[in-house]
Amino acid sequence: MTGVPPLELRGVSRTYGEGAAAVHALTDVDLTVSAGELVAVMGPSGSGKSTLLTIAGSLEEPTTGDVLIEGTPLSGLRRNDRARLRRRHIGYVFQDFNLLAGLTAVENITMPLELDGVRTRQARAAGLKALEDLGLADRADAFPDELSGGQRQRIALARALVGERRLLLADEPTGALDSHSGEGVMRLIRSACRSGAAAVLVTHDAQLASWADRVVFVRDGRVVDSTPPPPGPESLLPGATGREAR
Amino acid sequence: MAAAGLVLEGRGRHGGLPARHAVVRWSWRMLRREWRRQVLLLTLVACTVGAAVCGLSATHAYNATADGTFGSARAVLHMTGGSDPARLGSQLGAAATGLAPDQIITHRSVPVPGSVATLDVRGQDPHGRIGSPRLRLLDGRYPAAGSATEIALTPSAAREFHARLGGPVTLGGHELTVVGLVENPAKLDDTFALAVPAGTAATLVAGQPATTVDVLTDAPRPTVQTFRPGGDASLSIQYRQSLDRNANDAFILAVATVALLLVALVATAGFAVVAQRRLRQIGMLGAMGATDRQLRLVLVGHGLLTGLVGTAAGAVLGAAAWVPVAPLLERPAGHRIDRLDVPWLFLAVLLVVAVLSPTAAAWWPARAVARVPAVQALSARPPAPVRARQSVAAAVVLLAGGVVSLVASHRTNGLLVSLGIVGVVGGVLLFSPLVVRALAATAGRMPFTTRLVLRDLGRHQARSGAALAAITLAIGLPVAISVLAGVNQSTPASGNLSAHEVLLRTSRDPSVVPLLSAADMARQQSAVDAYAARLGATAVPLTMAYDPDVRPMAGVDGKTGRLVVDAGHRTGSNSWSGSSGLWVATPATVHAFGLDPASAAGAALVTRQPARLALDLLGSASRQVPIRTVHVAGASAYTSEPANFLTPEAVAAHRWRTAVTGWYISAPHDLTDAQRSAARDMAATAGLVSETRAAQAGLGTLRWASVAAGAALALGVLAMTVGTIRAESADDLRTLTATGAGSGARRALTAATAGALALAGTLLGAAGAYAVLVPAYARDLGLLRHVPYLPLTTAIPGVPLLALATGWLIAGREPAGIARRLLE
Repeated sequence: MTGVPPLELRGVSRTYGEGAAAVHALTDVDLTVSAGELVAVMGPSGSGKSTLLTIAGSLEEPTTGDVLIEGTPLSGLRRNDRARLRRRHIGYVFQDFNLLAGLTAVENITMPLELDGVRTRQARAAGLKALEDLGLADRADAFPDELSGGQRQRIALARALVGERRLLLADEPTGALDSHSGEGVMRLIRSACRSGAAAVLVTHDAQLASWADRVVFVRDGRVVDSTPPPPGPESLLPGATGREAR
Repeated sequence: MAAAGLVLEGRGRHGGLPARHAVVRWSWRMLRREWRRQVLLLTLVACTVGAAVCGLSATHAYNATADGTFGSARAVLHMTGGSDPARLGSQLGAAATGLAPDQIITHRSVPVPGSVATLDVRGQDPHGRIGSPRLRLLDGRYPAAGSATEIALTPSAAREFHARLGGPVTLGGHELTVVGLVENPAKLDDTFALAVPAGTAATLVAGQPATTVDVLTDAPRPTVQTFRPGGDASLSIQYRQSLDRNANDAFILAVATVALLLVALVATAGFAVVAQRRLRQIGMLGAMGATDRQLRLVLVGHGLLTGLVGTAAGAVLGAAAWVPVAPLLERPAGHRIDRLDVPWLFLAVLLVVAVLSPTAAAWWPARAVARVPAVQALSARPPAPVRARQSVAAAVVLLAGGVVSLVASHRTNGLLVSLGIVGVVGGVLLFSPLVVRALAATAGRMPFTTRLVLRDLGRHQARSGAALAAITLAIGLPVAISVLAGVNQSTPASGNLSAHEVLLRTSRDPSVVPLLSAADMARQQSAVDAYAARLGATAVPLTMAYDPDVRPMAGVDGKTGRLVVDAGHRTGSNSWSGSSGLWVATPATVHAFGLDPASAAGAALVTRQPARLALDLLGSASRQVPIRTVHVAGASAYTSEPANFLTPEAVAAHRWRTAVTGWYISAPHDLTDAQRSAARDMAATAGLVSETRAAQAGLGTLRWASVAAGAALALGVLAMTVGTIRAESADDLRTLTATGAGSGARRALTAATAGALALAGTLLGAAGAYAVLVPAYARDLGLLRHVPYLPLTTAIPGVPLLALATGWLIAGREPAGIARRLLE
């Protein structure tokens, strides 16, 4: 992996509150995610995993330190510029799907494109293509409450990747799914990375972390370790050779 | 910012038309999808717009400039020619030459049996060009032109004379046949008999000579001003007031402004709720990359759609309500109302602004919610309450400006009245966030459920404050209407007596005491006592003094009697202005009217009218007796209530005599129509005349209708707000249930939320109503002394108690299991 990394955190700290009531959610975190790389962030509850993800995605600002997306520091961007950055370069996936009720599957996928000014017809074509890739073309006009949990999360994933986005941030994306659906979602994330996207996956499930190229451990707001993942069950599949088997 | 690797340019900063289209599409889908949840908001907006449409039409119709005198004429000349037909004929000739009058109406007065009132017998061509708006045939036909035997009566005149269509009636000693029932549609309390004259120069009314003439003309003002009828005729001219329309428009504008404020507040309260409900979805949209403007558009688009749908429904509702309401208003307004005579321009503006009001109302919650950081929005935590300091400063400025405007307006300057009302109302409403914070601040010492409720109100300050403001206005309006109805019912200018008083007199002519036999006097006394006993009251005899040296004379009703002593002051070399009744201060009258004789020791006359101190006595042989007059407390607000009293010492000093000339009855309750009618019948039978207060039906209906509408609106706002506040607190409720709280605790939470908001809103609303009325009536504060206790007590404890009870009844259901909050 060469060139400018899609995501880089330099000495990022985040503190909530002041004085005696101050809570240090993150302390001096450095993290670089390269294009095509899937990084899993693990740690106990309250360790700062989700804060790391929201800061990386420009939803929150660090108290100190810099976040660079494609080499551009976020600190100099205005609120609306950060919004534009998110809709063009960053995709989010949450545990509870967060699809917009009232919009069909294809409309949910195309929403970031339309917000960016892409014409409805063009955006719909891109959305239908994404649905086709997911094998959900026949569910294009279904509303979220007509879809299964696995289908919803795949739609959310398609929405996070539609357009030219190259950074995927996922917070417990399989937390609300059964193991079969969860595996399907992980395969899609892995596939996106193979296509050149960088992904950060927050989880406390070691089995999911085994899909990653690298696992970062966070405790009390600090990165305490960064290792290759332990071999997952998929490595036992016939013909599998490390990462490529995924 | 141009940056390596990032593409942040192109396609417009906010996504242009495609982005707006996508956001509005989502808003519309949500409106359709959540239509059950939106029904309450839409209903409230529709009802408020409907009430505004109906109220605006009613205000326009109620305050329409009265054409009961003018018809469509520009000016009316009143000429009095006594009872000399020749003189009146010459005046009419002069008018015909000098003015080319469009219509002439002749008048003659005849006494109403048993009453101080007289009936106007009117000679009018029913098809006259500009007088015809003053006349409408209800039944039968118009009398034949020039007929001396046919007459038409208004329903009230028919009642007074116990006449019916086709039957006989005796007017001023002449028997006529009633051939029709008529009314003055522009002045429903106009009681008269109609005869049709033989021609424009006719001076006979139903065969009798006319005493006065009205000349209705469209002639230019200079022509009218230079007209002289000749001879010694008395002439007065009235011009149609063109300013009435402007004052009316200003008042309608003020009503429309307050109505729209109500629409906006109801919508704001609703959108504060919608904003909180959509917070997570809006957070998701923000995480997806929507700009602040796009996030605002979610709610603003919703507001526009709500405005369109609500206003359309409200316009239909208002129009449908106006049809049955218009006839109900005719009696209090005093004129017939054309349902199509509505202020079309104002209504069009109202509807346009009503569409925009929810849009504007959605903007503020939209702005607040767009500023919530996406992470916080995704967690659905409400934004931290903002400090109320700024709104309090704005409230104080608006309130002060409004009060100054209202005081300076003297209730006559329409612009200042409108500005004042808007200023005070706006000021009072801006206090709502402070009240919510104050409620939350008092929570620490309250019982558990109340504490939790008050803190929740504080946490959700945006929606609580908006709901409180809407409830405040919804309650404030009916309170103000109730107080104003009370003012109108008790205004001295419009009141001869209070509603529970009866005044009986032995003669129609107040200046003469008739010479009656002892038997006649005993018969009258007996009849009056019997009537008073039926009312549960006592008749207080009213005595007048007369000079036995003055020879008996005939009064205006033909009864021979003695000229009574009166008090007054000289107004010219040969003219006097009397006191309209000088009664002897007997022990009974002293007690009945609360006089204090000790404070007037040595005075010849005590008066309850402050301006009446320089008086002379009239009616004695010496004609003019300077006297010492003392003012005593207890000024009467009613024009016919005895106010001037001659002391017994003065009677004795002048060797005058006294005679009973009337009775005063104060019933323990307001008189019914039947009791008024019985007074008239009793008086007619006993040879007396009676006087009671003219009924003002309709104001009570208006009072109660406004209270009911205000209470319903307030309860609707409460239902919308309380429901969502408690829904947001569902997690707390589940925790409480898990820790053993029963249905009582759940009921108490909802009931206390509704009750606290309703109580605060009603108190603030009542305070706001008086904050408008007190400065407006700063110079006549006495008019506000008639507090409408019954409507007020219905509104103030009534609405909170109803809210409390409803909350208690509907909130007992145990919450479903620990549910996760999903967007879908």
